[in-house]
Amino acid sequence: MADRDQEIFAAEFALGTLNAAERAEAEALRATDRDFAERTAQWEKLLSPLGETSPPGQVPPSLWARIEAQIEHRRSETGGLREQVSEQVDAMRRSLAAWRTAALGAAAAAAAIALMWFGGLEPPMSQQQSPPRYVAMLQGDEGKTGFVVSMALNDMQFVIRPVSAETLKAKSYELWAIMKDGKPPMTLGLVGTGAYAMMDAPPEIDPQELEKGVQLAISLEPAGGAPKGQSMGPIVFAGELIRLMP
Amino acid sequence: MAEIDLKNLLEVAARGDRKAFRQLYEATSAQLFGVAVRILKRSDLAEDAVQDTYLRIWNGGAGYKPGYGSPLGWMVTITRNRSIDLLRKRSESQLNPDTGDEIEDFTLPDPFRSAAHSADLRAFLDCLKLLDGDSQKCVLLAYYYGYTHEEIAAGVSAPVGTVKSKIRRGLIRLRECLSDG
Repeated sequence: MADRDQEIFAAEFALGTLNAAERAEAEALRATDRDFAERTAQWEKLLSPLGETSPPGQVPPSLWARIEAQIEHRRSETGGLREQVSEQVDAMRRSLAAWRTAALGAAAAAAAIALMWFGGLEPPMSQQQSPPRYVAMLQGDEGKTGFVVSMALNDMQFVIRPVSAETLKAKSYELWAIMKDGKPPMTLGLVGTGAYAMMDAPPEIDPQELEKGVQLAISLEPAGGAPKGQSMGPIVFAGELIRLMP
Repeated sequence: MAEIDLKNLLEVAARGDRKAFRQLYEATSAQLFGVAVRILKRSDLAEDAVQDTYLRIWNGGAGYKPGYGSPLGWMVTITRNRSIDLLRKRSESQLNPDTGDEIEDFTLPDPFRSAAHSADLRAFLDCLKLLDGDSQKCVLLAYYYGYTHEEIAAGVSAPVGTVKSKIRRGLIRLRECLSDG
């Protein structure tokens, strides 16, 4: 369509003379073509003073109540959901805190083990520009390491290696990331007790957030994972994702 | 109500302030309802269009920016768009005609006699005056009633092509005049 026609089409859309099919076409164009959207906005603005001259109408008194009811309805929907999620986060954090108290003595040892574990994988000094690597020792309440999780910042992929986690029959282990920003725990997926597993970090995880500290936790869920992506089961292993080299 | 107040009410309401939202409604709903009912010719449909307008504002999805012109003009634009959408949907389902409650006795508003007098409106009317009578009438029929080219052509007993070109020329003339001002 020639430039001139686009301009007229935008003007006719703004004025409102397009029939249903043409209007649908213009709407589609407006949603996908920034230039066309800009043109329609300019025409709408040009015509908008005329809106002041439209004689007022007799508003039915019931209209405000209808609008208010809609607002209430939406608020209770989103508010309820927010409450539910935040309760769940609280429960998970409480569970993590309890675990942390029990495993306090193991923390320093865990970091040392992590260094030993991955020491062999560290690049030589000449390659120190390589992307940062992170590791977490996920331990249970007796200080036993259930899993070791590592990740390199360049590929944002978690490598999960089972250490002493028992193989489960009717349940599944599910790995969660809990960021410091207070958002709900994010599921990273189910982890088995086979050789090792690799999983991509969800796009919601901002690499910058990793520096602020991320708790990883493994919960015990019904076979197949937490229903609706919300953890129901107890946390059995947890640990902080720490940067391997300063 | 002064423009500065509406601007402020819009901003505060979009952030979730119920009192400001109510004030905004009190200040603008009669105007928006007038726009919607003239296009839709039915009170229940006009209510839908106006309700959608306020919910969009409340949800912040339609954030007002000063570049959009006057706050009221911008709100009218949202209501007009919604009303015309509903009108087109309705005329598509003509097989199932509506009964009874259609409001028919609307006369074409005369913008030059309007009590409104913002600077934007004065500039607009000064330019509208420059259009020939037919172009002016076609543009106003489209604006106030949301008529299609075909409906206007039937209304003024002229060929569709003539109406189209009168409207096009009118719009281009308006834009030239307003960008000169």
